[in-house]
Amino acid sequence: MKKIIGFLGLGIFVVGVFIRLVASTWGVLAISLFVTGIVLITLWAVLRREALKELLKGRKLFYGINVVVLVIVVLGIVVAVNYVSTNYYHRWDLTANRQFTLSQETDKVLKGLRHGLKITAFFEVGTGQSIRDLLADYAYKSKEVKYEVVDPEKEPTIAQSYGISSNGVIVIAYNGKTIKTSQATESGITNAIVKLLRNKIINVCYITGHGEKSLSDMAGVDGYGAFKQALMDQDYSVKELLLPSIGAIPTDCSVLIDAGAIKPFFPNEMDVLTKYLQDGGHMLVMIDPLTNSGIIKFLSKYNIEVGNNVVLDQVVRLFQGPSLGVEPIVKQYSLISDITKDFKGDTIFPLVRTVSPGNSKNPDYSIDSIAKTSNTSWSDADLKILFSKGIAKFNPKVDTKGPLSVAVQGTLKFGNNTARIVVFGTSRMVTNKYINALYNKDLVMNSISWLSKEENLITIRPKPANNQQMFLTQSEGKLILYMTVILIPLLLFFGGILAYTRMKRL
Amino acid sequence: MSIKKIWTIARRELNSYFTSPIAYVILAIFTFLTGYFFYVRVQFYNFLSLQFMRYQGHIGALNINDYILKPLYGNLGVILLLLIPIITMKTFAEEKRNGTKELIMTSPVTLTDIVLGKFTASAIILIVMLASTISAPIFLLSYASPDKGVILSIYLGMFLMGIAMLSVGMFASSLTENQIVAAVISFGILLGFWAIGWASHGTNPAIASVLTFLSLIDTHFQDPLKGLIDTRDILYYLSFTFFFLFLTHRILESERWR
Repeated sequence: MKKIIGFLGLGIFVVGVFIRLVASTWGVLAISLFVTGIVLITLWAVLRREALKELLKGRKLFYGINVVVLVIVVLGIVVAVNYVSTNYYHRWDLTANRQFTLSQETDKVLKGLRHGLKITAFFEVGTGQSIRDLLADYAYKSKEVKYEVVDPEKEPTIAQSYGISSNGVIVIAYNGKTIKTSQATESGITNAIVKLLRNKIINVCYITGHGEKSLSDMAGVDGYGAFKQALMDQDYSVKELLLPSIGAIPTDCSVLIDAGAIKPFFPNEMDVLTKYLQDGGHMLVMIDPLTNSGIIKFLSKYNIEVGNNVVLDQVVRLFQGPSLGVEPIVKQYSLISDITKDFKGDTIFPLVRTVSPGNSKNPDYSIDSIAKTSNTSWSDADLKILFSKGIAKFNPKVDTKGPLSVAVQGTLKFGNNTARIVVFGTSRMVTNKYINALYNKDLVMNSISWLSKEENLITIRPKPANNQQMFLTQSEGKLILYMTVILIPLLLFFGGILAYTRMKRL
Repeated sequence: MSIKKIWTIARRELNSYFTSPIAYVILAIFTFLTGYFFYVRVQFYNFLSLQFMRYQGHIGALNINDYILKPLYGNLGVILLLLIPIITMKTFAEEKRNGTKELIMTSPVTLTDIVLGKFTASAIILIVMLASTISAPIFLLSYASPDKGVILSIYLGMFLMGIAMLSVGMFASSLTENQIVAAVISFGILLGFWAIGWASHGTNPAIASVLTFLSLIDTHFQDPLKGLIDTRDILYYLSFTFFFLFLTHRILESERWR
């Protein structure tokens, strides 16, 4: 009983101290436990005073102090080793697609840091473990990166100094500039750093007035809302240009996009576009089958040939995708293009027409194919039968066998000016429906980076976990049930009992 | 310290484990629970795969690591916490009750040999327990393509976490001659180290990060579950194990002069 009082007192005392530490203040509960603990320990000391006297006199005291000191020293070493390990550590990512390893893009961006970069993440205690790990990886990769995770509730002064009022915001400061992001992912943080490293605002101008895809449509499958968001995530400023109403493309348009025009361009609009290119402009054109806004003729002047066809591939296509083959998957990319040389992912080109370099020998217009469909694809020129009857058949007289070029890039020299142009044979590949399919977004964003002369930042963006599915037959499901839930445990149980009774008999 | 003596003690200890029904009952229960959790997760994943096929592109990515491996082995970590005190409860408590401890204490083997021998034996039981769950990854490898690296890191993590739990169990067993009391003490300590991180909410950041770091399952087992081997986690488990084995050694040693 006397012994129990001592242990009980010690336990209550420790719990009281723990609650005080956690609560950071002396509450009623902490004080009560603290005092009760001391009272019980004192009571134990009084009841066991004879034994204590004996203990204090003899060699037991010496041994006791010896043990306590030794335990404290060993604990100190253990704490020190763990403390050092939190600052100097190594991790091995064993996932198949290196899901938790910073991507090539992040590596490249961090190598471009010339000054200290401070990341302050505002997360309530207990909610930001994954961001803490992620930021530790950034600091591990670059000595320029320093990070801190701050609880905005606990340290409101720091939060206020950054103008933060909510949880989950990350502030990145570099070379006197700061940027905020609420995307607590590698992609979000790296993109924010990319924005900070830029010295200028890059305007992406988007032509409207000819039935182009709508940048404000976030919900519709054909909308371009997600594409606009992807541009804004990369800190591009997106402006819409109603082409019929202007006399010239504004000089601050770093990249001009025309995507999915249906209605024809007026001659004066064509003049505006021609002037823009001649002045060294950068243009992305995405042109769908069955449309002719006049832009095909415009492109042909620069040795870019747009076919009046649809590319079909009934073999290299998405499982369960349209059986007609109107959504070919592209796996072949130019190895010398700045847009695609590091590109390894597949892309899907829904309802696409051929776009290829023309036959002109004009040395001022250098056009190269950057993406080609597979050998099993062909260009179907019989569009009436294809769309009205849904019949797709290779006709050697008018159709061409794959691989077929579906995207080109070009540099056009006009005296001292050099224009850049990229043309895709579909505008659907970055609609809300397709932008996140396979690596579509990456290919188009890489193109825009090249057009805006930011090719040094191009690589594949951070990728999510592998997508896997598992389909079991009825018998396979039952096999798992019988084996793992019944047979193996029963074998272990009865086998064990048999072994036990045999050993007991012996 | 002698490897030969440690191994002799480990063998003697293993023999005593397998001449009592406890080891078999624990193994059977552990494999049954593993099998049950695995079957339930596989069934759910099969259902999700069908849903995914039906609404292709409209629901998030399906991943065996996140939907089967992580929840299955996350649960097994907690089950280990419940079963390990039963494995270790008799380590020293039984010797104390039977009076055989004096015999051992006065034998030519050192106290370090005894502690490490008994620890080796219980670690072997842990390996047998982990090996008994191998049917789950084998089935997964047969019917799907899980990350082999993730499976490897999970088993390494389970082993490291398991030996840390064993060291606590042995420490508890060295404190008392009552096996039930030993099991309850180790269960209490392990539960404390599991739940210690929960107290970090609403406390100051420095203490919160210490409490989170101390958490046996919630912090250091999460990386292996994801497929990450981190030197911080390895050092935590090894130093944790070392410290409790050291405490066990000191407690037993103190009986010579108390």
